[in-house]
Amino acid sequence: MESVKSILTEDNPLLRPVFAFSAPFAVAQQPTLGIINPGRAATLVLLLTIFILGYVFITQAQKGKKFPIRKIAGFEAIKEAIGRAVETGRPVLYTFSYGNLYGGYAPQFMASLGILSYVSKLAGQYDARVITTFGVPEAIPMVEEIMREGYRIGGRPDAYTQNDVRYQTFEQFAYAAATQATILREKVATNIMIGPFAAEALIFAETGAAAGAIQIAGTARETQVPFFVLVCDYVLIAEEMFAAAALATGDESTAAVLGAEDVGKFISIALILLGIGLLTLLKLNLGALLSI
Amino acid sequence: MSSMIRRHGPYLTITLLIVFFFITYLFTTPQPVQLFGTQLVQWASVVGYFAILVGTIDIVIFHLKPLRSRESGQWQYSAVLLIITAIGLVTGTAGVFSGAGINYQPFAWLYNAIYVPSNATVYAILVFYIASASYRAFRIKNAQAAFLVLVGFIIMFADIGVGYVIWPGFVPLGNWINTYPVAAAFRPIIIGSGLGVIITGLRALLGRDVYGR
Repeated sequence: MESVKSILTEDNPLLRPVFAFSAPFAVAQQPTLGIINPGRAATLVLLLTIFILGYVFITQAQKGKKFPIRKIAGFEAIKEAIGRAVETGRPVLYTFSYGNLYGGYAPQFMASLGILSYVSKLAGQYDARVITTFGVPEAIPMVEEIMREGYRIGGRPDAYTQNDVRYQTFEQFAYAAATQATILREKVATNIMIGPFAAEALIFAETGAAAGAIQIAGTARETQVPFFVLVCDYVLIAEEMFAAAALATGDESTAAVLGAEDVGKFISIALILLGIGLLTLLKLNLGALLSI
Repeated sequence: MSSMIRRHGPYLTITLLIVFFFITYLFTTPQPVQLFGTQLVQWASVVGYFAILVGTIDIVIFHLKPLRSRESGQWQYSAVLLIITAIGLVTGTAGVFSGAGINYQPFAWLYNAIYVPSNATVYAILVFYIASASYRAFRIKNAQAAFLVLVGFIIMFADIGVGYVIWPGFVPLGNWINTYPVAAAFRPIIIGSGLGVIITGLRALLGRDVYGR
């Protein structure tokens, strides 16, 4: 028996491929304590709370309950900005940064694609030309479909041209240079930049300003928000971008999900205040105070 | 039935995947399940690399049009792009067959002598845009703008050597501004983004990310 065991080891070169193949399916060697992963209980509670509340809000809205939704200036300005592009006879540029759809910035890309569908629908209604530039290769078929569908819903399916859906490259500064060139060569009247921008944010915003375009920006990357605030006419700051994506669906019951986000904010504020309070008490040495 | 699968199949698949990732992230699961999750993420990366190939084909098709029609002011740029793409493809493939990979000399030369300086040049342009944006920010029109300028100068002097020579207090003051007021301004943006991501995920889970109604 022992001799058999000695043969069935990873050291046996003949069995190495077998061990390599079975490694992903090997049973965990170390026992784990509890059901929830350490340090993730709070995440679970917060997620469940927001999910349940969001579902409740949507269900209530479907039953006819009205929820007041604050107007988001940046989202409201999209109509005006596209109207201006039509008046001047110049195109609208919509860009949403570079990267991939399976990383941490994917939700921002998804939100941006939602807003793009709204923009393309308005472009169809107003007969505006929208040029989309981006650096996310996986998004090419999605953008083409969104644009085609948007123009169709807007009433001008023939206004869609594949030439205006421009994947430029996933390399940051090559994408930045290409979009910059598009802004200048096409003389865009409206520059809409919504997505997880990095250093290219200011390049686009300054180039758009130089071209005299009305500029609407949105990002949840906090380091780029100040640049957009400085240069652009309207800015969707962080969660406003996600809220705008919900509003872009054009469905009130879907937009009601934003109520859950507000509850999440209240919970966050309460937790921050609780943390400040507890930390202050700790610093003041509560034990010593109570013993007095 | 087939139309049902076509209509609801993708949603169902995505929902199941999201639930799977939630479970592996939040709960203790057997190692094989965790490894399966890791492999799924790796598959996504592989699919992503195929998407790059699709993107390259898209770019080539896009730039062939102005080249064929000799579009004024564009065809020259398209020609340069297509030539560079072809050279990159040929040298890259030669590198694979030679066994040198990305260290294959002509390919490495293309990268070091063309790509890196071009990239650095576009990045360097940012300096001038920052100067231009700073000019916008530092125009003192009211008390708030004056306060912004004051804080801006403190941070600037804290980061440059001469600031310490002028007044050593710039460094701790700058650090304090970055640690407390700046962090206090950034945190709500980060928390709001996180909540926005959760809501976007919920909409996707409920199949309510349908646009164009």
